[in-house]
Amino acid sequence: MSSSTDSPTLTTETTQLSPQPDTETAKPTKKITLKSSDNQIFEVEESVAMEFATVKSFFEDSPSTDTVPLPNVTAKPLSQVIEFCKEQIKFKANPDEAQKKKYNAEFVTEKSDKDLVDMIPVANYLEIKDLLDVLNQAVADRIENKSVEYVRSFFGIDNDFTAEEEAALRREHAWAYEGVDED
Amino acid sequence: MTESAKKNRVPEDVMMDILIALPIKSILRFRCLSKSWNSLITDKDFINAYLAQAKPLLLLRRWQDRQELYSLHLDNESLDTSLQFQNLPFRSEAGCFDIIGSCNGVVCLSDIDHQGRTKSLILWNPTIRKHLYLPLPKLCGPHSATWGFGFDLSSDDYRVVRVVRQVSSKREFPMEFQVFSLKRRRWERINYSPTLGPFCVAPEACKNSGYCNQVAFNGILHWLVYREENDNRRHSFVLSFDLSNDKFGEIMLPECLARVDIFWMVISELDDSLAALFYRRDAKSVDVWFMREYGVRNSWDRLYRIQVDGFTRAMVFRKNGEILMTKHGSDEVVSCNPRTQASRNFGNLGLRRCDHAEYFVQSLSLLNESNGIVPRGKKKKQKGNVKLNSRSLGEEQVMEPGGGAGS
Repeated sequence: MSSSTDSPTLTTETTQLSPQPDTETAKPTKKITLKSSDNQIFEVEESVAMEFATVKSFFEDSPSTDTVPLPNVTAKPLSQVIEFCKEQIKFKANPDEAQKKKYNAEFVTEKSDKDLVDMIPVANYLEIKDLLDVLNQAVADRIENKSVEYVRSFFGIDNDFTAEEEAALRREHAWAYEGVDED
Repeated sequence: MTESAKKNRVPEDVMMDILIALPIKSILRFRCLSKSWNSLITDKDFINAYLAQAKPLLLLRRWQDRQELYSLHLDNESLDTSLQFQNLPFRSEAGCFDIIGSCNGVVCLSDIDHQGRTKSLILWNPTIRKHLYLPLPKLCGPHSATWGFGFDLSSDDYRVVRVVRQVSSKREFPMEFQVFSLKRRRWERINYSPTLGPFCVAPEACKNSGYCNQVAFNGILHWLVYREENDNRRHSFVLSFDLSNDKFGEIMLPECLARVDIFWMVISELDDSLAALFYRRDAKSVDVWFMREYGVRNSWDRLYRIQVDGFTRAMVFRKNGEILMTKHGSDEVVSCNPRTQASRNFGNLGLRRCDHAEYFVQSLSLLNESNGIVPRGKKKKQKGNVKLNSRSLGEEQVMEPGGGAGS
């Protein structure tokens, strides 16, 4: 089990970053501490943390742990993912499909392309299926009618085709390059 | 880009989920993104995954301005047009293709002239705009033949089947069974059980046309055929061919249908079993029969009798319980609720002169197939290309049924 002891500075550097202040919770609930790869500390309610299948199984394996290190996850996407999961918990308590749909749509609409792309590996690593579905659909909607160049920069893909190889592929489906949005 | 950002790339299995949410046009364009995207898109697992989630649409074929027009429609109240396949990349010498069938988003077409000669045979995935000319089997002169097309899951292969008998007034020729495998790219002759005896594959009235009364499901092809019995009466039945083991079989029709000329019948599929439709000219109605237990003769049941003025050529059991039919003569599309007898005619929505309807999915099938087969009819015209000529001759040799060209 990796712990924070290998880098002693971390324990002192705890930046309290709570994406949304919990105002309505009067009674104390169990909190779980998550630590991002860039050493940000997040205190989240247990119910929210249990939405992350990866964190959940971590706790099942070692229940006495108080801090869960997330070596593959940086702070910004993590805070957005936590924000999403907090809302999902509310919908779990009070199911309202229409509201949930609306929230999910707004959640992705206001995010930048980069935010979406950065959240995908996090949602995938933490195994948050609902969020991953929402993100995948949002990304698909954004790239559907875009040019190859646009989508390469969207995902940060390096083109490893030679000019000839790429030209041959473009010829094979020339019609698929017609009627594409301006970048 | 920093190293950590690079590490946080979208994982491949997630890329696949994103791609699946896209229309095929975008997917084909994104082959160009990078080598890894291209190999993901052309991977068999991805092609299968896309196929598995594809929404069934209705494929219609109709006539407009002396051209055949293929279009996809949503399976909704008004059969909204989803896509029209324009400017077909091939032409029929006979004037119009016969649709042998479709499967996994691939349509199999044959071009048969008025003398019953087969001019070309095509596999076409209209969604990715790709078509392959298949080599023609032996005996493509004026013959009485029926065709079938399907996909065999066990060998992961598309197969075209032809049941043919040479027509001659001088003597009786035996039936021949020919099977084409896309993987092997050649025709082979199949032995069939002699207990089937001689039979006819097309009604008298359609002897030289590309008559095709077939339905394929669960890897089994089915044709409506008949044999002449000793008492000179006709006995109609369903001939089946199992693509997984190359076995032919006979499926009995209910007594009252067995005596009907197959010209007045259509077979179709309902709930993984056979359905048969019989047009009663005198009563201007159709009887819809259903084989409740596949292969069990006693389980044939008459489900409905529907008042329809006009013989129907195609029959699709829709998800909403209605039956879609294309009427012969007027060639109009009619969707009928068999319980209320209410029917809607889509002729006024531009769906006139329609002679074919079936469920169809948009897929990436055939994406990886090479286009190496030269159509027979074009050989002579391509004088300049010696390499292609010699190659297509090679195809003909391996086509010989039973020939040892593969060894």
